[in-house]
Amino acid sequence: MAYATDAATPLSIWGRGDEGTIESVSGANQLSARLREVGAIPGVPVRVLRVGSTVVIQVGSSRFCLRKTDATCIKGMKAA
Amino acid sequence: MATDIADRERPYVGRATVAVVGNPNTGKTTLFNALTGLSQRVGNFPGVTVERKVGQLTLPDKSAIDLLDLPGTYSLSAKSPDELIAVEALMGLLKSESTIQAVLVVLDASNLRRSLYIVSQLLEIDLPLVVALNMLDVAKARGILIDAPALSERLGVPVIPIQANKRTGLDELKEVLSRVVEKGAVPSRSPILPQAWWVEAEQLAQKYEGVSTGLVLRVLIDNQNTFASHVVERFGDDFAADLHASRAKVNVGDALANQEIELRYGWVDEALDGVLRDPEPLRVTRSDRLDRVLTHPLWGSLSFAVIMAFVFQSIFSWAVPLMDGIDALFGTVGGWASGYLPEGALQSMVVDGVIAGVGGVVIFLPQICILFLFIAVLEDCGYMARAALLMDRLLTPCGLSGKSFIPLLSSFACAIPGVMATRTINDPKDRIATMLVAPLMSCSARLPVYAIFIGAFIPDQNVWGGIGLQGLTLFALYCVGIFVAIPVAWILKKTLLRGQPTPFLLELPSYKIPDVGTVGMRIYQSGRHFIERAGTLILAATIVMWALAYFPRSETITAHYEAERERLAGASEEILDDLRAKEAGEMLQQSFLGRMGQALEPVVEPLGWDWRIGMAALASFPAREVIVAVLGTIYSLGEVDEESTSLRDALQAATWSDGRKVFNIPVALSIMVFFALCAQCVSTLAVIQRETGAWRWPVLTFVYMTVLAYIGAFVTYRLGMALGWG
Ligand SMILES: Nc1nc2c(ncn2[C@@H]2O[C@H](COP(=O)(O)OP(=O)(O)OP(=O)(O)O)[C@@H](O)[C@H]2O)c(=O)[nH]1
Ligand SMILES: [Mg+2]
Repeated sequence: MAYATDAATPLSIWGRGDEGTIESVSGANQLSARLREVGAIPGVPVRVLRVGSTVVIQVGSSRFCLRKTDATCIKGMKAA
Repeated sequence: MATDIADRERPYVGRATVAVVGNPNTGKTTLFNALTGLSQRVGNFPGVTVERKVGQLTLPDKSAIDLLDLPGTYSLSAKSPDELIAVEALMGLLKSESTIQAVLVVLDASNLRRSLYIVSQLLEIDLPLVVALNMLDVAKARGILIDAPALSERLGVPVIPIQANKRTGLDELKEVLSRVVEKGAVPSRSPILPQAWWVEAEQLAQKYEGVSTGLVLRVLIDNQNTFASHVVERFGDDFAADLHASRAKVNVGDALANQEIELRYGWVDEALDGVLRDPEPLRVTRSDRLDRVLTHPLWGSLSFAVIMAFVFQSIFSWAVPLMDGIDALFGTVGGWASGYLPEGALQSMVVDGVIAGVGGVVIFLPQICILFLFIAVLEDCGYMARAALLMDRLLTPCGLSGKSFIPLLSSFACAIPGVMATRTINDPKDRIATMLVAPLMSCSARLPVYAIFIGAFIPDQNVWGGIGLQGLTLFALYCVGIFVAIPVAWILKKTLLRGQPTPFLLELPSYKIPDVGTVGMRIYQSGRHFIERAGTLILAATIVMWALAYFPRSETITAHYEAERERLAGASEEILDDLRAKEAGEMLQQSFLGRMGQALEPVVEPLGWDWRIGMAALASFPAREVIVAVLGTIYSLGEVDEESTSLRDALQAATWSDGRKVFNIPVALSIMVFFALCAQCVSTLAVIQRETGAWRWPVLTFVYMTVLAYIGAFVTYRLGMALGWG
């Protein structure tokens, strides 16, 4: 990466293979509640395994697929 | 002897029920099967079990308990109908159910942290808890180390390491279960959630009959979700108002649900500190590497198409030798029956009705087995969730999500479990829309119909690299259902079931080698089901149709042909055969079936069908395979060739009254398209009624599918003729 930022970014704009930790999961809908329940809470390691209209993310040791538009609610801090 | 009887009677007097719960796909059903000796469906994707199932487990002291297998759930705040079933059972909200005395929670050792979330909730529902730590082999392969005794100490409940698919650790598990059922010690409540929440919950629970503290706590926290709305609806407006007041009292700042999750994971991390050693959580596994190809936007979709084409080709090429064997067997039996039974109605019923009809269906057993071999392998290797991922792209524009694809894929086996599998869909409108298009997926009952017409009329040509024209035609027919389902779902979601687009979240399990026992059991069960159907429903329908085609016997026709034969005495065998064929044909024409058929003919003629096809299709509305049986019977009655019971030859030889062949490629295609689209299955319609609780949905399904089937068959026939395939 040419520029490194300290700010958390939505997982929807991460590239394939990017790793980091979860900063926040926003929203009060059932999707964000479920994401949190399966472990997407601050500090948990996260990685993007597939990009596209449907993304695959690894949260802790589980892998989930969800739409790119829904993945915007997960913000993470990318590892350098 | 006396003790023996006492033992047998004991279960009926207050037998304990233990519920099996846990996250989806952690091996609950595998464990349930291993403990009870049953063979409920198992598969490597979340959402295999969508119903409650009860089985009996004999404990080491010979006493028996009931084990209750439940759908998987990530937490007790249920978000879809299948999770609701599990949570309602646990919370004792199902009146019909015997109350649960203890809970057996199954954890995935390779996903321990996430699995413990629900454990922290289960520790608070005032039931004894036993933890089975499953999938230890997977954890070990990833270098994950778990100190089970230490975990047990932290949780305050027994933790038993097992490997359900290899049946290891079960003896210890049974020992512990029998101890827990007998003693029934409820775990002491860890101070995970704020005391104030419990105080409110307790107060409300005291006020309302039949409401436990655990239940109130749940709905206090879960404001708007599926489960909370369901409970509030049930206990009335007063309860709702009190709940609202309590919530206002304890709610400071962030929503309770968010606070709950953070508090629980805080507790989980504490419990796991020094117990779990995972050296490299974000390690790239073999599954990840496979997924780079199999979920790749381009290569993934291509692999999907290649896998499907291979499946359909194999259904034909692998089945042929086996089918020839079954065919020969029925030929022999038919010959034997004609020889032994006296000529007349009984002989005709056995030979033309049962053997030609039911036999014509049973012949396709090998195809059914091969289809289920592939379905079972796909289900148990972990590919289903990937297919759903790829299909999300296709389903999003029609208002559904990839979540709908798993029920739709299940419908390729049979629409009934497919409709039930829609319970995993959170959104009620999405769920109904999925149910309504599920019967468009080509179920295994359509396979015999496709197989007979493709086998008889589509040339066995190699198109490219081992993929034949027959396999491609079959593939195309499966696609017809899929491609019609897309606009139908789109229209439904735009009109009757209009709603917001719903999110899609699906766990991708790691790939594994399919279990031979699981696959074998699936093939065996579906094969048996197929034969049972042939022996009951199809047999009954065939006999009715045979009777309609055999009666009334016309004296005049018999007398006329008797006289003819006398006149032509000494004529060549060929002439006599011809005469007999004419007689049989005329008899059939004037039978009840023939008369009805002629009335029907104008309706089916635009599709290129003669009255026999029309009647056979009409008779297939209760169950589609009936068409094969009925055509077998009709052609066997209207025919003289006693040696060949092969329906294929009869179809190829059939002619209109003016001598033209009835069947050509467009006619065969038109029939198959009709069957691909038509709602010819009473059981499916009944299940849709049960799952939606309303008659209008099965009625709508029936009407739209039948109309589409007619239009589809008409267009296919005309197009085929215009292209000169006739
Ligand atoms: N490697 C391994 N696989 C297992 C073990 N136990 C079960 N499996 C496999 O895990 C998969 C899921 O098993 P199921 O029994 O269907 O899981 P479930 O918890 O009932 O799943 P749902 O009904 O969807 O909630 C199947 O493919 C099993 O063969 C185990 O101990 N080790
Ligand atoms: Mg299950």
